[in-house]
Amino acid sequence: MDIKLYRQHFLSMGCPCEIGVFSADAKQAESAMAGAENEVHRLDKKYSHFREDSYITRLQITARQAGGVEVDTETASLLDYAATQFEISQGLFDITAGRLARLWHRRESLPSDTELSSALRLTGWAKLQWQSPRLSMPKGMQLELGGIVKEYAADRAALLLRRNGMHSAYVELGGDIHITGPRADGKPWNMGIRNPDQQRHQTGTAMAGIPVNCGGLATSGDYERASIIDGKRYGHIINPTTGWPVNSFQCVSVLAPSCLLAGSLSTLAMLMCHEDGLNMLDESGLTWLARGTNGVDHKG
Amino acid sequence: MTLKRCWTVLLLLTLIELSACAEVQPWERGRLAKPHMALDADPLLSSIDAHTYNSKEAASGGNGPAGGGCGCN
Amino acid sequence: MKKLSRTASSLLVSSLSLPGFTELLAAESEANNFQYRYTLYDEEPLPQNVLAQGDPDRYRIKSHQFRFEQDLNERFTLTVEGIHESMSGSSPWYVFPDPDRGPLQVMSGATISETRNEIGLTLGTQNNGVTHAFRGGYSTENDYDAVSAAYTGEYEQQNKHTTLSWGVSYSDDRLSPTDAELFGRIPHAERNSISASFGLTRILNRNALIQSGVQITHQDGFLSDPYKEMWINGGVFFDKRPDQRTAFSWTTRFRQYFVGSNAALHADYRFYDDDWSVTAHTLDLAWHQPFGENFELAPSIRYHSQRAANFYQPAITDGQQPKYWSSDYRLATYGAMRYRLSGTWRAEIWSLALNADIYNSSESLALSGPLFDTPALVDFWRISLGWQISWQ
Repeated sequence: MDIKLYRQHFLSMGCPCEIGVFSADAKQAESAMAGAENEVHRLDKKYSHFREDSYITRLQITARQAGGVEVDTETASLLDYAATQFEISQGLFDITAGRLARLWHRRESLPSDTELSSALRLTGWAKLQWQSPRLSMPKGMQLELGGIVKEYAADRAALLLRRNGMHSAYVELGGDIHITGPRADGKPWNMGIRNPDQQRHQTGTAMAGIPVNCGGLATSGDYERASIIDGKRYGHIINPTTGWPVNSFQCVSVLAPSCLLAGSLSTLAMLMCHEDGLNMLDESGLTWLARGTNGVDHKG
Repeated sequence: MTLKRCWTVLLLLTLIELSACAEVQPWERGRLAKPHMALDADPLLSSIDAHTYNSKEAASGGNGPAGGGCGCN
Repeated sequence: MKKLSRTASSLLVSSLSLPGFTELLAAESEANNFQYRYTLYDEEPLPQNVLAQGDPDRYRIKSHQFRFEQDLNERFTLTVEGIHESMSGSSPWYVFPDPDRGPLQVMSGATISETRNEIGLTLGTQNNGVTHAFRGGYSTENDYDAVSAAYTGEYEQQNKHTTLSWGVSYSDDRLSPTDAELFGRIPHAERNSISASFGLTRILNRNALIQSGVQITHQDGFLSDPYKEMWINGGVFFDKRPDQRTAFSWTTRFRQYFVGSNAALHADYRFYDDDWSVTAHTLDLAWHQPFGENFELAPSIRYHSQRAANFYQPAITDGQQPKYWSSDYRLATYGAMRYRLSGTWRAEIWSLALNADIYNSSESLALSGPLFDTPALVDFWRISLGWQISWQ
């Protein structure tokens, strides 16, 4: 039987998603892709901040009660991971910055000092109690899992593809990618990183192409969901200690063993000042690409 | 005599251990992780070097617990 | 595992508790590799002016090494390594004290090609931040068999930038010298060796690190060379060394990175001392210079100096009757310089390395120690080609 590339497109996690597998068996390929797609929908349903009935929305309400609430094993591991992120980034990476994220979402004018300080008051990992498996949150605090869930979903979907025999496949969720293995001919996949200036619906030349044999590729950028106020661009990645959007890089892409790790490091670089971000990426031991706000590209 | 030498070196090692050294941030270790900064970048080359020198010289050691000897002449 | 920064590896380790992640990461890690190396070793012939009799063409050795490393699952790694060597050439037998020409070396007749095979199996595992490895090995050639076992451990103290390492090993060797009856050699003999080591690796700053460690080895049994002899007062007697040897070595390795040239300096020093009175100093300096992304050139020099064993003499003519004796040049006082040039090509999943060495030894290069006019000190050249491929 011939080996062919099978592809499936769908919408989830608020972005266009794509799964591709090389397989000699059309039935097996389709069933594997269906399983992977279902896993992405499952995580979208569970951790979406935009759904009132999602697990995470309900969790944030019940976590306010005295004594907190017990979370499931998957969420416990994600919270443990978030705790490590907070520690290793010395507070820059903070999933409790939900209020700040909402505050800066699609604005037409700058937030007032009062709005900023009240959002900051309800931000800070140290202000919640996480002792696995119990979570307790102050009233009004909101979680922002945007920097974790999509990447985690790409890894989980890829795992399911692997378990179903797809060792030459990829999962792409809006720019966050996990590749299970080289293409059928043994060559790496050529993954393009979109130009930050380009809108999603436009086609054009990529900023760079990275050949990938396997692993996760994640990109953090400010080119989407930005607010333009008085001619100045304010991105959606907010520094949880100052309350203001970051301004060191236009975008950062990292290649790592998992999409989750790639996403953590690319977002962390965005949150750091230009010099510190470059040093951190440089010392990471991973392949990366970053474009500064001045338009200058760096890579390692 | 050998044991006395051993204690002296162990003391020196302890001093290295306690010595103040520049605080290296977690993300600053990358340069030390480059292949040409490795303590042993090529195990097969180190192994055949050790084999050659141990067979042709009177000294040995420093290459970790080795395999058995050989009748090298 | 890939060499990650502390930030990246902490996050990686933390992600392992997520459902299915250990499976995913173990399946996709590129720690698995296969290495092969071919080495050709060739000694310079013994100069005619110091040859007493025998074949002056000395040793030539061709070695094939391989090493295969594979993650069995996220906790265990298996390494299989082996070497196959074929050797030919003559070796020094004893020194004849010629009254007119001085000490002359008697060489053996050229040996028939012989081969040696060695295999080693290592199981590595990690538990609570400590890495353990258990190794078993077996080496065999027509006149020598050795069985060995070793355990090594390593523990990284994250906050103190320090790694502790330790190990013990044991080896049991059996000798059956060829043509024993014909030449009156000992037909069978045994020796064993036990060794313990301890070391410390320390990160000094973002550009430098240092490793220092000690090793003690104790050997017991037949430690003489069954093929070598010595001229004693007109007669020729078999090599007779003590049946015990305790050795101490202290090795320090330093690595320094230079940002401007992206180069690394390697400096290794070893001090050796044993109860045969051999003391040795060995210094190895290398400069690793990358050119572009994929190529690296590394010239290096190694200086070795040793002081003779207390029972070493080329020959005895003054009526002494020592308890132990050996004319083996390898126990003499001498110094040696090894010049090496290495070139390495690295790509994403494979690498190729070429090394060329020249080694010269001479009594005049020794730092200190009694000098004897040893005729058989050896010079050799070596060329070696290594290749490695890694996969997930």
